[in-house]
Amino acid sequence: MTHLGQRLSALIDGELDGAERDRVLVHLARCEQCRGDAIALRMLKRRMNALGETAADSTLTGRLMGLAQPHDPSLWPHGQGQGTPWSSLAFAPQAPGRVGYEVRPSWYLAAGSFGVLVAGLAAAAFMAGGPQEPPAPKVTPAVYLYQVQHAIDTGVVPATMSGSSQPVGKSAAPHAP
Amino acid sequence: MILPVSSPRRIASVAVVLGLLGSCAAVLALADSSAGSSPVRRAGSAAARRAGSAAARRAGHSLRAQRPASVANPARARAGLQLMSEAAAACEAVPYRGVQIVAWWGHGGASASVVQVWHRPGSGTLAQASGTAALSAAVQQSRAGQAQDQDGILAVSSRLVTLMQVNYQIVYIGAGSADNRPAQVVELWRPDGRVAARFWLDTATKLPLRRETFDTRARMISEDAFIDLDVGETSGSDTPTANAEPWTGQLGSAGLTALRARGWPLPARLSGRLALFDASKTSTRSGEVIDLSYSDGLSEVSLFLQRGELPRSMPGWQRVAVRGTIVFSNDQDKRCLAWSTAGFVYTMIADAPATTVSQIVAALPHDDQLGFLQRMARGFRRLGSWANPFR
Repeated sequence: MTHLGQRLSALIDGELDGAERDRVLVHLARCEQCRGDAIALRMLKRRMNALGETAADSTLTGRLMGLAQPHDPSLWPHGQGQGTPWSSLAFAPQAPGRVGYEVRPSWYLAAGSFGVLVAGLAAAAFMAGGPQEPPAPKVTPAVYLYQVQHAIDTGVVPATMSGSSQPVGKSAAPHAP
Repeated sequence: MILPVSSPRRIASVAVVLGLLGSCAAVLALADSSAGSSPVRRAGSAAARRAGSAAARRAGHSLRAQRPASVANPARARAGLQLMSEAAAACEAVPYRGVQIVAWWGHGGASASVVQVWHRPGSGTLAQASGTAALSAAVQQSRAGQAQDQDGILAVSSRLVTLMQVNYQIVYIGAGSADNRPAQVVELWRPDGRVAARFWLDTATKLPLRRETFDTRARMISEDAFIDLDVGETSGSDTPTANAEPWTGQLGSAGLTALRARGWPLPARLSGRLALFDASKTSTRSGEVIDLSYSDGLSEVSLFLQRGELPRSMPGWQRVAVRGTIVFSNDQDKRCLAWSTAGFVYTMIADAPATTVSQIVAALPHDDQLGFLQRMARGFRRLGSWANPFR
């Protein structure tokens, strides 16, 4: 005679329905061994459920969660039992007598990344905000030529006595470096 | 500074010393500010005592530089305009030769130069600087160029008289004398009634014999006067020849319009009521240069434009601040300034009061002088625009 095997566990877990469930129940009515197995399985399941509802001791929970806090005084062998479930928060109180909060390394990392991002954006904006003009040739004004032309604009032509020098307008040429 | 608490006498003595030092500093600052408030006037008095005083003594005319705001007597205004028109005609038609003293008082101190002048009808006025009496070493260095010494030569044209009419009241003041010649004195008044210039016109020929110009606070900034004048045709072997030629590419309104269409920034007016009255161009090794001449009838400003940009530094030029704008200057008086923006180099040479020059410079285009926050805001806008896939 074939026994129920895995189908017995499925029945206990309520996973069977319809004709399959009826067939298993008929087999249980006829098979003494399978009925015994079913009773044992139900008891085991009930006990395991009872274990799952038991709350862990708060001190133990605090210690376990405090493992993430290397400086948590409650984890030291001679600690005063200050470890609480709240010690797992990011801003945990420091040693007694000290003012301020200690920041977890992950927060340092996040803040640093954010700072680098902001600084990079600011630098990019500063660079992009500068003048944007196409490069032009470098020119040094031919100021002497311009001064002569300015004098002519005002109605006066620079002069020399006859034969003393060459005309300025012909000799002075503007230059570009 | 840390002082021991246990030495109150030392603290008291230090406090007394600091108090005395502070008082001295305050006195020095007050003295400096009161003296520095009128550098032009101080330079002017120094110049009058030295080189410029010769012309002043010869002219022998003392008039107040500042008048209350008023409207000129119509008869005097008509007479003044008539005299200035006759002066413009005389500057064209009367042959003469002479020696002028040209004095200028600016930021860098005072300077005076002596210029020989020849005029022949139809051939223009020729000038040759024969010496510069520098009233400060700095000015002597800055005015090494001969051409700049010839700024301020006494000459009046009909175009300038037209502009004078627009911007000033021309008022006949009365009789006077200059260069030992009887003269008629004409003043130009600003709209606020302050005198802007004073002319002594030869009674016989109407040639201008002397001119004083004043800034907007009625402080004298230049004095030009004949110290020797011979009227009539010149003869002899010492005939001058022109040492320069005007640029041949004259630009009319059509030429200016065409250049503007090609992107040249050619203003029709400058700040300070200076109107464009002449334009020309020339080709140089560094490209085309446009010369724009502006005047209000008294001050004359030449603006030279060419494509390109200035190098970071130029020998003989210094960076100076003009109304918060950084430009290059090659003289102490800041009469020759250069800057570049938007692909054009601006070079400005001005015979104008410092306030007018700074007003003009501030109103012309310059590179953006953005503050930090404005530059950042513009940068974020540009970054956003670049990141926008739908633009």
